[in-house]
Amino acid sequence: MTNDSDTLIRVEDVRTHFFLDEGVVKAVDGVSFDLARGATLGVVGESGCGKSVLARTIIRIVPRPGRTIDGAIWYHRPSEGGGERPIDLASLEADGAEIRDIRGGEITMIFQEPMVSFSPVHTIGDQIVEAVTLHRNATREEARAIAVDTLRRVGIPNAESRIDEYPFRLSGGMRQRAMIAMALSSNPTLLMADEPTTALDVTTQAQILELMADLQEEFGMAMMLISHNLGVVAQTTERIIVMYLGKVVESADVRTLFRDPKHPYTQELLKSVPKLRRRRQTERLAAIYGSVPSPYERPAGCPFHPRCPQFMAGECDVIEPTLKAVSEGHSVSCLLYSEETDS
Amino acid sequence: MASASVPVERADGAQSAYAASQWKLVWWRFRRHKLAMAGLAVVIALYVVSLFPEFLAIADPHERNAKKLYLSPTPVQILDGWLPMPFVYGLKSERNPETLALEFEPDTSKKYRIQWITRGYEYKLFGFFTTDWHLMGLDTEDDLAAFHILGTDRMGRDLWSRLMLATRISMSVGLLGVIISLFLGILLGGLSGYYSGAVDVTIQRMIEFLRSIPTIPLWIALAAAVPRDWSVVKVYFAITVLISFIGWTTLAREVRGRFLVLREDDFVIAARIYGSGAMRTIFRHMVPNFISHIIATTTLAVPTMIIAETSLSFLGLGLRQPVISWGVLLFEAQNIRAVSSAPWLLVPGAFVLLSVLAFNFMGDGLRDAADPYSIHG
Amino acid sequence: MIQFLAKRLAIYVPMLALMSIVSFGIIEAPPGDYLDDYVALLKASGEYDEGDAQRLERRYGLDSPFYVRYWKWVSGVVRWDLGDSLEFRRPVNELVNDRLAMTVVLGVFTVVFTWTMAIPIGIISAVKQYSFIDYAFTFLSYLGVGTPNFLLALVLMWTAFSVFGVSITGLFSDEYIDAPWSLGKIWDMFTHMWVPMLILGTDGTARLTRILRANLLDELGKPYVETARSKGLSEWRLILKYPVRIALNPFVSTAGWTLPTLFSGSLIVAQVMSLPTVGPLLLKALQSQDMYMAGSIVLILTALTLVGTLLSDIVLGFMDPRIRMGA
Repeated sequence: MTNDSDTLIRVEDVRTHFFLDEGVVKAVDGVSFDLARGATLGVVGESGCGKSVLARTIIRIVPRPGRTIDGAIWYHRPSEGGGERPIDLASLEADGAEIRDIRGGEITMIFQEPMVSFSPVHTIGDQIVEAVTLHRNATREEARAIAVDTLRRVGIPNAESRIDEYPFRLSGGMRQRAMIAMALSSNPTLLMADEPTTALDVTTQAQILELMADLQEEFGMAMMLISHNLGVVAQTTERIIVMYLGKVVESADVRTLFRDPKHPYTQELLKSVPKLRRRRQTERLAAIYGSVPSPYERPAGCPFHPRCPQFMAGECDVIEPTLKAVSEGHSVSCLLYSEETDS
Repeated sequence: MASASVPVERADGAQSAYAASQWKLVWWRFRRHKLAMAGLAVVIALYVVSLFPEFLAIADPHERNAKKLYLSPTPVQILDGWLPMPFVYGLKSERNPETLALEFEPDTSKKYRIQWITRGYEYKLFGFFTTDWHLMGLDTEDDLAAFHILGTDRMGRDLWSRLMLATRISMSVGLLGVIISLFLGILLGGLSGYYSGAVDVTIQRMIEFLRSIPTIPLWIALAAAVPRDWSVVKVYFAITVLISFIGWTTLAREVRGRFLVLREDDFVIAARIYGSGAMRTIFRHMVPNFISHIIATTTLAVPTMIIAETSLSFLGLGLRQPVISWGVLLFEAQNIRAVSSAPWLLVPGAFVLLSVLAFNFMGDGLRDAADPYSIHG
Repeated sequence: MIQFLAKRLAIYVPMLALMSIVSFGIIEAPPGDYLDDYVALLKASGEYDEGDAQRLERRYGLDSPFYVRYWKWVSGVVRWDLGDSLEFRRPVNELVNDRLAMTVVLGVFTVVFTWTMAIPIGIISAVKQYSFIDYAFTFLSYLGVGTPNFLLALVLMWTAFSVFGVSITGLFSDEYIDAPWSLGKIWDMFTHMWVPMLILGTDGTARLTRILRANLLDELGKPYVETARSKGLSEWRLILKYPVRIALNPFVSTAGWTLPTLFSGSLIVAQVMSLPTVGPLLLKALQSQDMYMAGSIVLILTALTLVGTLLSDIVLGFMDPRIRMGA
């Protein structure tokens, strides 16, 4: 718990595990981070690293058989009087009234697949108005006006008529804009976007990212952007956490991370990002050696060691590293740096 | 690397899984469904009965006995004292002074031991070998020694023996009907899915047509049109063909759906580019790829056939005496007064239910085993 | 929507025409001459009248080529002139009207019953997948699908007869069977209706429950459900509003297919329970080779089924904008 008035969300050692017949998948395994009011955070990692589950853990919509078994999510909820009241989201009933009030109202989320994230048999307007009436004291007419207004602000032309369209009549980019409008319509304090541009083509991607950056400033909300693509995240956020197999391996602001990546995994990730100013045309993009191991058989010691180019036998496969600060605002979870800080 | 052995071991396991044939994989997955395994066991048991019904029968299923009408199932005494030597008591008949009807009571003074692997009425095994061996029977000619596990019908015929023979007919109608359906389904569904275009549209319309008409009224109408003077064998085949017409549409749809997906698959396109003809492409490359699905759908179609036969015969429009099927036996149960005085007449219904459930469980298990990724209810 | 319905009609009308030919085939199928049979019957009963035979001759054009005979018959059916029953010696439409109404009423009630049972059961089974209640319903639905409904009818009738000593056949109490329609008679019908409804509905309920459960399980994993959940809707409200609504679509479109099964099934059950529907009449006609009556009934049943299918198309059109707008 913290009294820092700037903090919006403080995640403390959260664990969300999936209990399957084949074994337990530790999708999120002891993640901690802070997010300030109005700040932006990028969460990066390969698919299966638990970044999407992390977002779902925060608003408590982890699908069965997943369960958040440990940790706290302190959300500093603005109260009527102007002050704030910290609530541990992790301790709330997942389908209870309080979390449902926050979910979709104060903390909203955008998903990866705009094509299938809207119900195909309800109009866009119906689905946005529903979100508005749930969280704002508004009549249907007022809610509709808010919906039209938000649709306009996300750059949908003819919002007044488009609001009555069914999703299948909109293009992918338009649908993602409508999705953003839905997430913004309740004036959230935090917007989480899970791979919001992955399913879109490159031009639309850039437009959507730009739109999100603009809207973040305009609405003054905090934003958490989840992506497997470091480039996308760097473009839009100030801080980045890098996840691997359910753990945070490195956390830093964008500049530091790009200039001075500490964790070998981050270094490898950076090598796989295409750069415009490449030294030679022939230089090839590096791929990370190997692939993410089976979720049921997490390697002992540092989870990254089987793929790590700087693997130290007898240490990395035995000792599990923890997240340690290497400099102000830059922490890393790697045994390469443990001596420097420990001794 | 201490933990390096873990992935290597896993790779080995995976390799043995890849090396296993598709059939083995299906069988492994099928084995995990307990209900499906139970279904398989019941189906096998029913077909074993169908192979040797006369051997399992106790009395000649066509033999009438005016003295033993509606005889209730004989209570079989399993233990003789402490010895597991089953026997039945004799019967004594008494006339009820009020209703004047002949009533039977067990006569505990007479014991008849049940003989195993014994001689009884003469029959032709598989239609060729004349023999008179039976699984069980009584070693007596005494008319008051009755061994009717399931009682007798209104003509005093032994229901158990009739049921054994009926099992052969009903199960074979199901099997034969499904084979005809399968042939039609693969042929028409395959053509429909392979060629698409006009052929597809025509066949699809035909299927839609057949599915949107109330089948039973039409089928009983057609069954009623089967001439009464046809021989038993002719009627049997006519009814089977009629019934098979019900089932093929589902199969054809399934085959067509698979074809549409497979047609675009790389290996099929490759086969075509290399000049493989239509029939060769269908049977050499495409059919083996969904044969497991076809088997599953076929299994699920058998119950429809069995119910159809039973329903038609129950109405007196399907198979007729002297052929014995489950439906023919249930025909006797049409009269509710007969049933209330002789409830054992409903036992063939239990066999219908048992076989239908068994095929359904087995088919569902097969379907899941053939396609582990699909969700079925 | 209009376009969509026009498209469907363009399929159903030729279908009906085709079916009329098949029905006519049924009429013509039995060997022997219809007229000869009739004359023989009349002679046997001593009521033979030369005029009768000639009238029939003209009515069905029995000496004309088959297409004339077909036309005479089918135009008669369209005008609801179904000719005379050879067996009952009465105009067929007199015999059929009441029974047809009963068939439709029973059919509608059974469909309503099926839906009111299947929808909640299917939803609960899917939402509480692998729970005790899911397993219980799954087991029951297997049993429901596996039991031929005439067998269920037999068992229920036998139980009612031997345990409670009541006969549950028919749709009316004895005193109402030949009485004119009155409120009392209608009420009496409802009190009798539920048994055949239960029997006829079991199979359909079981099937639809399984379809809905499978559909809903598919839908529950779709992203739009998660979107709805992330909005802060309560679990039951979101399930009912989104996935259930969508899972019901294929349900509605297959409702058309349940009608043929229903009419088929009702025929045998009606025979067992001696219900005053068209089923037993059709059987009687077939057994006595009264083929004109049989063919007409088959055609009417088909027409009814197609009307039902068309109705379910309309409902589907209202439920699914993708169909309504022709997407």
